[in-house]
Amino acid sequence: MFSEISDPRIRKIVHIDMDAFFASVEIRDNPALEGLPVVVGGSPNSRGVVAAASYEARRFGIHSAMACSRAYRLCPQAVFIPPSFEKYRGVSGEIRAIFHRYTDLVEPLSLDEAYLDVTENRVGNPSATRIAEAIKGDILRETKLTASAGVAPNKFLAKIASDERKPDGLFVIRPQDVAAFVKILPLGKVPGIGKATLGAFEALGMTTCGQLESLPLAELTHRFGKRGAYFHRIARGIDDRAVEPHRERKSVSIEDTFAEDHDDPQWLLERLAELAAGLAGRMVSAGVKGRTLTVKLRTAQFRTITRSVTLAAHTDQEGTIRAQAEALFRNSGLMGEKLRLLGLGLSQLDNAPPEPGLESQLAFPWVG
Amino acid sequence: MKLSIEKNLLVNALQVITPLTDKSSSKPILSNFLLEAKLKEGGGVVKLSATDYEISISGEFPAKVEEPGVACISARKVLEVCREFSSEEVRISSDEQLWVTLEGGPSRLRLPSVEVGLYPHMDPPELPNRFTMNSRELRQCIELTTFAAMTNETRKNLMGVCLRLSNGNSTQWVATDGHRLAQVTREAKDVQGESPPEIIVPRKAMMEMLRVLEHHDEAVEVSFDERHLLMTAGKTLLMTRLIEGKFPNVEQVIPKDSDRTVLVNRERMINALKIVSFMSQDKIKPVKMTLEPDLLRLESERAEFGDVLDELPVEYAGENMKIGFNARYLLDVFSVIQQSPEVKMKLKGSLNPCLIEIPNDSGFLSVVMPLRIEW
Repeated sequence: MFSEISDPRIRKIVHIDMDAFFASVEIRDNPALEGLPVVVGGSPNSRGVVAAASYEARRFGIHSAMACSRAYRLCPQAVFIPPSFEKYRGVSGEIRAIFHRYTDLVEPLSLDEAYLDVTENRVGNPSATRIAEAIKGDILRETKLTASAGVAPNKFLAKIASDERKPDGLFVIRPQDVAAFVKILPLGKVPGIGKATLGAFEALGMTTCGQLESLPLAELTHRFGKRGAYFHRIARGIDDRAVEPHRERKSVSIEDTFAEDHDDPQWLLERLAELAAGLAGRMVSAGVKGRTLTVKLRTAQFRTITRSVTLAAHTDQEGTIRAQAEALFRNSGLMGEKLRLLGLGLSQLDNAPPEPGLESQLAFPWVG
Repeated sequence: MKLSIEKNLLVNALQVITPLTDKSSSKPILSNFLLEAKLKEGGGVVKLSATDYEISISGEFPAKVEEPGVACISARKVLEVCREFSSEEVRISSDEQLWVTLEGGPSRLRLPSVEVGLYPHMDPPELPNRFTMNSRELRQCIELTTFAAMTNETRKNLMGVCLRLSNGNSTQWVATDGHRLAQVTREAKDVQGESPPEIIVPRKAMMEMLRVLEHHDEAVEVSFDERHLLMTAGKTLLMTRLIEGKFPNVEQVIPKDSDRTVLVNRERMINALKIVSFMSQDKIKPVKMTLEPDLLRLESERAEFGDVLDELPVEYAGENMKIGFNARYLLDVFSVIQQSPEVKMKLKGSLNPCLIEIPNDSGFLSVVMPLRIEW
């Protein structure tokens, strides 16, 4: 009898990720682009970054957050299209409306990505796989776009699963398969493990998530600080973070830990410029602009300092970010010191609901 | 092919068609246009045509044609170079190797051409519904409405101007983006056919029609079915695809019970709106309006930038009231009203729509929704 009842502690999480979202919207709206390598972002000779690349463009090695000039060198015949965020926001809204037909536990990560907790759902369907299929079907029918879905008992695995069968994919990790899946999961696929962390694990001879299980929590926290506890859990396939529908994104950031410490200002400024380009790309795909820019520096002695500036207006522009970050770095008093990490973040985002007291434009009644 | 054509004719024609060819990064062939020389009694004609698949334009112009022929060449390059030619005539010739040579006096431009067969072909169809209107009136219909159409792509059906034929010989043009609307009714001639209830003409096509009409002063024929609209202005044809979709019922949002009427001087109002909207670089330019007997005060403030104020005399006899607007919406509509020095604004409350009318033109109206502002 007991085996008939599913364990109430097991959650059903779906991660939906639109396939090459901005590029797919552009191709949908201009069928002449079909089959061509399409890059949404700045113009090829600007300093802009790629916001999205169609699968045809990815075959040339183009990916998002790459400099457009580099994308152009990789594929000169690519079609470069300036982004229309208003349009993407509109489509993103349609897709979110679809999610809410199934559950109110929707946590958008950006315009093209969201977690859904469908353990309890509005359609009363106990199968998360069926729900993921239905959502994919609704999205395709109503927006003519494809999405990939990952189904798993927690957020970290659902996100990895959605990436397994891209594009137009559906991949399910059942609770009984978690242990086997995690055992051979390459560490590079784990969200939150960048190249620096990956290098640290490789130095320990570890390449899969399962191998981390042998590291005690104390050692992981000693090496990786707060993130150690996360690694300890995911090595066991555990991630108890809830899907938070009202989680308002407070900041967007990016950082780079170097393989070895550096004190050459020119070299560090180049890394800072790369981070600025990367941050601009993340701002764009998160669909937000920020007003407070923070530069994070960590010395060889693990002293971490941050320096911030609040700008006159919200921005997601690479040039502004780069210039301001450079100024903050130059005035940080750490020029010439050996550094092991550089980071950049933008906060005070423009996604907050308008404060009472600010104006709001009234619309005709038929505007939904 | 061998011909010569008056430079101004060529440049004017290219100025009309080149915007169609500009955006085509996706299909390089669409950056070209077709140049066709035909022999006719008494000289000959040159036909220029271009398309972006949505909109196609073609025009015929008199020319001295020695050898008929056709070529497909870059519109922007020809336009930019020919514009600078110092001669009054441009000589154009092509050879078998697909080179096209353009000469203006001593200046010479040689361009590779594209195989003509690759260029999309446009055939003007016979469309069942039609009417005729003089060019000036049609231009007005376009100018007085198109500004209110939606520019972003969240709602396709609002990205154009809705055209209806009604009451036998009248045409009605309406555009809205959900926050404001503009509507014009104008008489037409030779109305024919059973019209579908309405069509939606893309904003971009309306702007192109305006460009064509700048060079044309006589009567213009417009014909359409459910999918296409064709405008014939003399020897120039413009065809556009229509937006599929249903246009909202705007009748219900036109206020009927506005009881406060203000008469403002159009130019002074534009001037004041520009002054107060200077305060904000955002899309929404909030402006607070205060109405007192015979006085209109406009104000705007931004904590970080400062504040700005302007006052203008108006005809107003009602009670004092305050209402907020996006100054851009008011500027847009006041700027297109050219036919009257005065404009009438009809208001009710600070959260009710504002009706804008032109005293001597009952065929026009505009509605602007207010901006809710904390004072």
